[in-house]
Amino acid sequence: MTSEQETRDIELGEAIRRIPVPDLPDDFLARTSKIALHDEAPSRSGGVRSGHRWRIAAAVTAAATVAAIAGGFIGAAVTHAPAPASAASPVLAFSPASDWNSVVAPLPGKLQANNEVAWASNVPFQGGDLTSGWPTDTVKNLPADGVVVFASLAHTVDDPQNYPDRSAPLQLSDGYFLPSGYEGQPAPNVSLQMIYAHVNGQYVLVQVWFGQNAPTEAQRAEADAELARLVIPTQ
Amino acid sequence: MSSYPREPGASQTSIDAARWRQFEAAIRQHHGDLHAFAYRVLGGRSEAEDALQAAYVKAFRAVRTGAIEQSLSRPWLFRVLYRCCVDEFRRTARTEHDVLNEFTLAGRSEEEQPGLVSAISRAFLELPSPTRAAVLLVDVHGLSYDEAGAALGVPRGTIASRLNHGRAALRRALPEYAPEWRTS
Repeated sequence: MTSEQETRDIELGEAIRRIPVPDLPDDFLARTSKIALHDEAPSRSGGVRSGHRWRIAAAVTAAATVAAIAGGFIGAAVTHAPAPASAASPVLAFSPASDWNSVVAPLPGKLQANNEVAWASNVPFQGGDLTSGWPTDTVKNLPADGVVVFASLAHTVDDPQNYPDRSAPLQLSDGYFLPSGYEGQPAPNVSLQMIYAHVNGQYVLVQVWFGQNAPTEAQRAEADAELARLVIPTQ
Repeated sequence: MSSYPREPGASQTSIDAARWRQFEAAIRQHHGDLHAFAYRVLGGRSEAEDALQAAYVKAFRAVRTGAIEQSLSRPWLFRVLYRCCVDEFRRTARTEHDVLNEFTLAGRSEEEQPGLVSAISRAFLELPSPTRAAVLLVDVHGLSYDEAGAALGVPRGTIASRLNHGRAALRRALPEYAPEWRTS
């Protein structure tokens, strides 16, 4: 039967091999051996889950587009005078603070039902971040003393076991630190603190980027102070 | 592996550590291919890393407990890994659209990709993941149809059918960059 005659398309195989494959972390096998030897459940990788990230990114981008068409900023984008947020805030937001800029990004109708996004930075927003809805340029160009805090919230998630119960305010110590070599690292000098948490009945993912691989105590304290201003609505 | 000799006075921990070293040495020759396979099936760095880790843990435990007698053959490793990829798809509730989206966007942050690479990335990831897996196993990693069928848990005829479909779709999608690839 012709269709079952064994053939190999070498040319096509060569073309597919050109699709770049990212490197694994240097400690991948060491981490895997620990899990295998100690009969632990396999761990999640350090980076942001791709599906989660792109769903949020796409949502924020869509919101930005809608806002731009409407002739405005994304939601309540403010510089040095952030949108007011209080303990009773009905949405995810950062309370005002001098020298911090913050953004609350409302999402389009369908996603609005399950997701909220807010982010803040102690440096001016860069490039087109206010219209793109994602702090890409700001994070990529972070100076050594720069900090960006990005928070996204979901009312329900597929993997609730990965969001440990925490109480507000969140702190850096609620998460884990990735100095370099992590998925999607925007620039060699930029480190990342990841915090997955279940707070006030909500599933929250916070990413804190620092402009250096070994942030100073002062920088970490500054980030913790901004985290303390993150208001997480109760579901 | 399961017959690794117990040294006098050796603790279980040290025996397991020695078994792991032996296991790691055995898989090292396939490590790059296995990772590339997981990444190209799943289309995400984290997902590929998690699937590969789960596969190694499963493979090591199977070998350590003597659950399998066969050596760590390449087709067997691909089979374990593919099952972990399927689990990863289910666990993360990813859709083919997520995969395509990430792969396309990730490509933009790399060095400017030549047209062919960019085009094949998109065309390849537009294939259903079982078809991608069949093309990868046979055309990229050199498994026979029988080995690929065993790895994916489908008959040889299904592999042939997926290959026909996948190859034709790829060649149709790429005439701009490789006109000689057109099948008709």
